[in-house]
Amino acid sequence: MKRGYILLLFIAGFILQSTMMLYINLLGITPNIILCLVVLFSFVYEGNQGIIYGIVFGLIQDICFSVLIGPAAISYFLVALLMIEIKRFLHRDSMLNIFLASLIATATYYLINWGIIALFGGIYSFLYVAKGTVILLILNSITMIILYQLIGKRSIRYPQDRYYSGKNPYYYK
Amino acid sequence: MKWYQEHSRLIIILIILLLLLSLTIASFINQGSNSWLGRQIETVTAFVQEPVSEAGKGISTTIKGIFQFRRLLAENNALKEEIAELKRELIDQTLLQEDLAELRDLSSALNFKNPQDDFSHITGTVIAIDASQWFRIFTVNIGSEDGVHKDAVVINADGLIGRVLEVGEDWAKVISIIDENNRVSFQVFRDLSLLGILSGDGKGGITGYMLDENASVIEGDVLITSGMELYPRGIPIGKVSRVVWDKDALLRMVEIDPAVNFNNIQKVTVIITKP
Repeated sequence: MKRGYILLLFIAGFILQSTMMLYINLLGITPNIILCLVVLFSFVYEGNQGIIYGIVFGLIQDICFSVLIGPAAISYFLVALLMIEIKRFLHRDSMLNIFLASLIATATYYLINWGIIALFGGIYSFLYVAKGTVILLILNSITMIILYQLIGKRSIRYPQDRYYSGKNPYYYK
Repeated sequence: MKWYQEHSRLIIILIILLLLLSLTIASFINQGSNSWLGRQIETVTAFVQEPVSEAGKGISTTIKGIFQFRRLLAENNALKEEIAELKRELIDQTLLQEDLAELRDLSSALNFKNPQDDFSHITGTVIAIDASQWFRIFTVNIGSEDGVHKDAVVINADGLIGRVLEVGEDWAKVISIIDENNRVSFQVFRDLSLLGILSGDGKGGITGYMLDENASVIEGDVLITSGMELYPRGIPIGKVSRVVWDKDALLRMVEIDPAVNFNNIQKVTVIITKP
């Protein structure tokens, strides 16, 4: 996918997450679209787009919605690195693996984020954050599957992919 | 040199991590005062977020309107009755205006200064909130152009929300009381001599303690701000949901059910201190 499109997707995701989601939520919690996009562009797609946009939009998220600038950027960065690593062990064209990647990414992101904020005097208890993260695991997984169906399947296919036929190496170029 | 070349990826990762960590430390030291670049980013995002938020509100209202037609009709009738009642009350209040004018003349003659005269109010709309985080930090569409300043107190119709963390020309970032461990002093509305201190409990709620260990606070007591520091007097904070005696700290602890539903804040009022 072209870099411009990815940037537009992240911008749209950020604006949607912070505005429209004011009115669509589950117990006051909304899915983390930026995290889903970071997972998508790190786990499903090749390249470093997930890392770069993860850091950039993590910083913007911190500037707009946090007291500290950096925790979200660091968390997205580490999640993107983790997704690139687990890609070696999980087939990226299996829906179950997409779901699994989404669960791992959500749990990792909130654990790192909570850790950094707690280190800098954050008041939130681990149990409270864990409770919210359970809802986020569900919401993010649903969002992730929708995003994968819409744009994830357009990634370039490689011989190591499970459903690679060899005849048509690209779904979409 | 060879080692660096072989581990270039690891070195880049560590450099990025160190840079981000330095930024976090710098922001921790200068809390609530963003850099020029940070403020510009917030101005641009607020500019984009406001119309999208309005559009989202429009869509949400339309959809809710379709599904909640009967309930809205009943609510409309109830509101009409309430308006009629309020109109009757208004007539009575108008009659009391003359008494009030007399009292004002008297207070002016005695050179009495009302603390409420030091404040003005401005109402704004929440244009952005990141509900995928556990923080309840949000952006409103009023800023320094409207007189909003840092640490201005933010309330809504239900009670105390928090304070302005950062302000731009036409936006302000608000942090709620549940997100902070800053102390807020309170009074019990039933007996104003009962004082205490509260703060966020780290579980999305508020907890506090009474200054007098023998204070006769009970469940259901309404708490209001005492006006001792940042927050003006008389703003509802919430209701006491549980009273516990902490034998280690020798303090009467209170758990508070906040008056404001922090999951659904759309309109806020900022209390501005007059210069």
